[in-house]
Amino acid sequence: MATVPIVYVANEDVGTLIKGIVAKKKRGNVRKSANQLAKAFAETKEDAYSLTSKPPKKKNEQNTGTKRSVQDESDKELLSVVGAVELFDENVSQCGTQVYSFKTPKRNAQMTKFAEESAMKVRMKQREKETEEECQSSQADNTNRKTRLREKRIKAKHHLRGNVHSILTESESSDEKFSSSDEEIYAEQASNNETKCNKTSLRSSNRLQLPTERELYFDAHDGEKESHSRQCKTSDRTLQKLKNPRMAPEELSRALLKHRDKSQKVESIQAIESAQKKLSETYRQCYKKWMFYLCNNFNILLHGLGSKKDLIHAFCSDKLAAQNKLVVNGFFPALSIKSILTHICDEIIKVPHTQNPEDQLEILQQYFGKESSSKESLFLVIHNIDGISLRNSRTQSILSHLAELPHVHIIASIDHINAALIWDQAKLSRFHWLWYDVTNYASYDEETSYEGSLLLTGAGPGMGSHGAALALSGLVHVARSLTSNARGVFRILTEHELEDNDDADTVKEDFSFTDLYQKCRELFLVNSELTLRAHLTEFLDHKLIQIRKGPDGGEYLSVPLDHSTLRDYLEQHETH
Amino acid sequence: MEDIAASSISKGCFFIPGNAKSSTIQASDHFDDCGVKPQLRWKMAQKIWNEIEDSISNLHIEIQEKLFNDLVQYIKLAQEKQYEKNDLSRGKRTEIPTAALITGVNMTDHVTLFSQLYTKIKEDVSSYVAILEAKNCSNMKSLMRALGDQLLNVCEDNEKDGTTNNDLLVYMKKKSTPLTISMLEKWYFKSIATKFLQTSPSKKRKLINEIPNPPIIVICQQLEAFSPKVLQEFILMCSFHAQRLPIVFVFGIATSWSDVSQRLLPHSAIVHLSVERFHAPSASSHLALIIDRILLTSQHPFKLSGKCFQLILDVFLCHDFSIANFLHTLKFCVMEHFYEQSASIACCASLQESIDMICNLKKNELKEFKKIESMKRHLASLKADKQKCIKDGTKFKALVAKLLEDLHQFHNFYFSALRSLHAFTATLPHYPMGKQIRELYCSCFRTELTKHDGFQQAFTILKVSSRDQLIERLESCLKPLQLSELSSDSSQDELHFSTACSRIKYLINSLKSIGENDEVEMNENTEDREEQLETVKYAYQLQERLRAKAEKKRVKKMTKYEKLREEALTFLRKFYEYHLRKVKSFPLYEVFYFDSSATIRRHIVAAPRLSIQTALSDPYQYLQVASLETAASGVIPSNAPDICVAYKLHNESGNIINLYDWLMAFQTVVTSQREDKENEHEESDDVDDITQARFIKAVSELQFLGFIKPTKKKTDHVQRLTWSHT
Repeated sequence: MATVPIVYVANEDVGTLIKGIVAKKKRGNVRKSANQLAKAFAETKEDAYSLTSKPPKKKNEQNTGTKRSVQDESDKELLSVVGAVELFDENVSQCGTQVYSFKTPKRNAQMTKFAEESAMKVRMKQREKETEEECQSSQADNTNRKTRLREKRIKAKHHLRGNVHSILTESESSDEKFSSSDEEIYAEQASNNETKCNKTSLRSSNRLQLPTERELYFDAHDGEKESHSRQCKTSDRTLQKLKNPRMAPEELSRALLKHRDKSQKVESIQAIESAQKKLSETYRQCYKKWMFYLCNNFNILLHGLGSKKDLIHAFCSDKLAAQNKLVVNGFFPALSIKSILTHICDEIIKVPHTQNPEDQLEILQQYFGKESSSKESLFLVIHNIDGISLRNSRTQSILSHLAELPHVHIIASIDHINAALIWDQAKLSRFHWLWYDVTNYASYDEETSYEGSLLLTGAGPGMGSHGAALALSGLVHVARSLTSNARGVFRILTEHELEDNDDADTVKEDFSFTDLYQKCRELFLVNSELTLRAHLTEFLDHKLIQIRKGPDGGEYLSVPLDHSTLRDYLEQHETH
Repeated sequence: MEDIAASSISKGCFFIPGNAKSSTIQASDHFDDCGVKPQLRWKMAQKIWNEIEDSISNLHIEIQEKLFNDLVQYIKLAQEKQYEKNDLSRGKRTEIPTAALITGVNMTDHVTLFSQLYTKIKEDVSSYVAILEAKNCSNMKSLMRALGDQLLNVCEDNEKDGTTNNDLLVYMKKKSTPLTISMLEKWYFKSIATKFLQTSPSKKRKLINEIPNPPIIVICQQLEAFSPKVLQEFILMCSFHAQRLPIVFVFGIATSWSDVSQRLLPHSAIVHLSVERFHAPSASSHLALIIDRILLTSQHPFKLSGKCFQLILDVFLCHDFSIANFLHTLKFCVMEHFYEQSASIACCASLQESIDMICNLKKNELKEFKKIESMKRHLASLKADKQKCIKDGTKFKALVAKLLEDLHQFHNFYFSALRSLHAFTATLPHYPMGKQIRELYCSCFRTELTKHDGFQQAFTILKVSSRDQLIERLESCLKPLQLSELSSDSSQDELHFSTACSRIKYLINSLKSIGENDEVEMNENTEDREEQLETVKYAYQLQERLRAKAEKKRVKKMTKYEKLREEALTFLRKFYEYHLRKVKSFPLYEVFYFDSSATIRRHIVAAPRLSIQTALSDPYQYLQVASLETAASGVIPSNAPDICVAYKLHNESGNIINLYDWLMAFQTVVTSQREDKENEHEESDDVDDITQARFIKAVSELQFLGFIKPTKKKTDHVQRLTWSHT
């Protein structure tokens, strides 16, 4: 960079400069001079825009058509120029539609289409590069390869589309249109190696992607009924089609580990990871400032995409090693404000805690308030202050009163998109937040582990992968404390439950009490209905079975646990 | 190690004790340690903030003093009146004196207002005071409990030694016992009696004369939040006991009394109240005072730029109406200014201090000044030989000192001139320069006065003003100038304040002395007439000449008054244009002005949802990797973070999403790049474990962020929660 001459050029002269680059390139004096000029070009732009404080990116776009290779290089230069700060400012003035996608009419299988188009574009770009490289190499071979690939894609596409039950013929025909023109694109591309043609095909696919104005109008304005019917217009395929419809949590983590290993070799993913690291590095530089503001009675609130747990932990070990701190995992489902307050009372003030959270708050207010003699301060570190268990207004109001105290400092994070709704003006003015955007794209490993997912095996929603483990260990513990007869009763119930599951289509019937009694008698597990009931109460108390009244007035029993958990239980613990 | 300690499947809270003996923390330890003299800067920041805070709290007290005094006076008088009445009409029900304190809608600051009122009343009138809040008074029982608790606590210290009514007190203090008003009454008289006994006989006489019984004051904070039924019952109940118990109400009302009387309280309750209204200063007028007296003065060296000022004001006017929040933001600005701007070391109240500070700087510290944007521009504009001089340390020091002096000089007059211009133009129709002085400040900061539309417009209007109006305006604009005239040293400059003042005075006097319809000065227009219209070649030449002539005539026709007016206006125009130059045109203005509105926007009025959605829809904004650039234009790069891919695909769906289809689409995108390399690999619909795992992760993260939730409408579907149909 040091050797590059910096030329100050007026805006009008930029055009001539570019022309100069073009001319030079045409003459064949390609690489080096163009590169230098591009740098100079970038410099001038930077200079010009430092005055008007507009992001330099826009200017680039104007020139897109004129010169591509120059563009690419100057872009790389600009990357170092465009700071995160400028980008943020640009963001604010950006029009909303670019960030929030507003409701657009959706058709059947739009998602697949979108994905394919996007994938196609990516592939085309790659091909563009390849064609440049392999321009001179054997053309026949190349074409062969392309056509083979094309056939494959088309086959796959038809396969996909064949499964979709299109309800409207109209949408089907448009699909057809799409696929036929798609083929054209591929055919065109295969026969031609020129980049020019690539561009036209790109443009034509762009046109296809957008619905016409008329379609948009009718989509937005047709009657209530139709829009109601459209609600359920997704395809009927289910996850059962997959080889492995529900993944176990361990499998998931194993696969993710494998992915991590694999991606270490892929360059493009590495580039992103290094960019992520760079982001985190910049946030780490703010630690001193956070500490400064915390001392000045501001509280720090972190937001932005990505888990902020590591960032906060690093902050704690870096700056708060000498301080008393209470780490609260807001995403933990069984958390309560009382447990937080009790912890503070127990560990710091060491007073016997009272029952009522409001009373506890009063004690804390006296302890950490203005008049307090002790200079001891407490740092509350709250991961996900918007967590499910902390969301209610009473909890937040107590937290805000804590935040107000001069010797209590809070550093917290939020993730939910509607998180800001949990505070009203009064609470906000007590919290005195300073917001910091720490988007870092880190994965929410721990935060999501408590969440139930349809795609995972687990003990129902709200318990998540940890829940499954908990349920199993709970089951084992309960079973261990019981007599073998009681275990036998449960075994019968479990087997019945699993048996039913094998043919998924039939509606599962619960075990009626009388049937169970019959079966238990046959196996000599119980001798009267009373003993059976005594056994069942044990399970009922631990919420391992459910009883409901059937239509005939009899009682029906079921096990509310996940099947895989039950299976695990039977396999591991019933055998010995 | 901490990581392990702070995650568990059975616990959500972890206490980690500090490992140091003395765990006192000090902000100074964490101040930025690079830049010029960080510790000194921190001290200056503290000093300046304390000064600002002090002057604001003084203003606060000043504003509230009158209100509080009125209220206290009313309560005292009401007490006496009631007793007079009682004597006259014994046995009859009396009205309860009520002060309706109309506070306006601003919930956050009122808590402090009421607590101040509480202490004030307790000191001046009587110790029997209770503040009731709506959240403690959901029914009659809890209301009585809250009232009783406060009254009993208040008088506890008075009765430490008095054991006479212990039994009753103990009984009443039990949380479980329901309190009644007759119990309170009994307790009240006992406590007065003991107090009476304890006081010395000489005081006794005095006490009897002054306040027979100290009143019980019940303050209801934010009356609208109470349930009408409870309130009505409480008022009725108090009214039955009003003849013996001297109760006084203070109602905090956010809306208006008529609203309360019509909506909240029935007639049967209102008849028992004798209401007097009091108005608390409204939040916006309060703020205007703060701005006028504290921020827009040369008193404090720290200043906000027009843009920042505008932003904070907008937050105040459109968000919360909270003075406390406004001050907090201001505090943030001060801290940030001294933290980030190392040149802020010279931000002192007086010129001498600033220059002393500069003199003490080392050479490498002075370099920081060269980095300032406005200084760079200034240096670039200097001539080459001068630029060489700057390399020399002492000369550069002198230059900086000179520039700072200029700025100080400028500031000395800036705000007075601003006030004067505001006074001059505030009464014009349509307010071309804004209604409030803060608007004027913002626009002066933004644009040069000569280019300011409002300014031009104002002077056009002034050009046709009548004599009386003009005199009035001139007088009003003279006032702020005279105030600062005394402080300034005399100078011979035409536009200097003292000369300007005398000039304006002279103009006013001469305007007063002439009559409106002074005769048109006789002028020797005969020669003009004689001047022949020369023959001209083109029509436009003729036109021009005629126009020039007409102009001449007009000027000559001007009355004496019109001439004076013209003179006054041109003078004032020049005067304002000189004194209200754009602040940004001064080099080193950054020393005094905090000019980063983006910082305020980012940290005070952040948009958390925007940042998440930007990160998802256009990852290039955060991760500057060239291949991600296409993400904004509808293409999903295959190497984008998984959650971005899943988000982009979910945008294409309606309000419920088929997980299987989603997974398929996800696979298509993710594998798009690999395909060319692995096209030998069998292409099948089967999804490999890794892709599935990545997808699961992405989906559960989206669920965590609140974009989707599981639904039971259809098997293996999730519901979309943002921007979906219906």
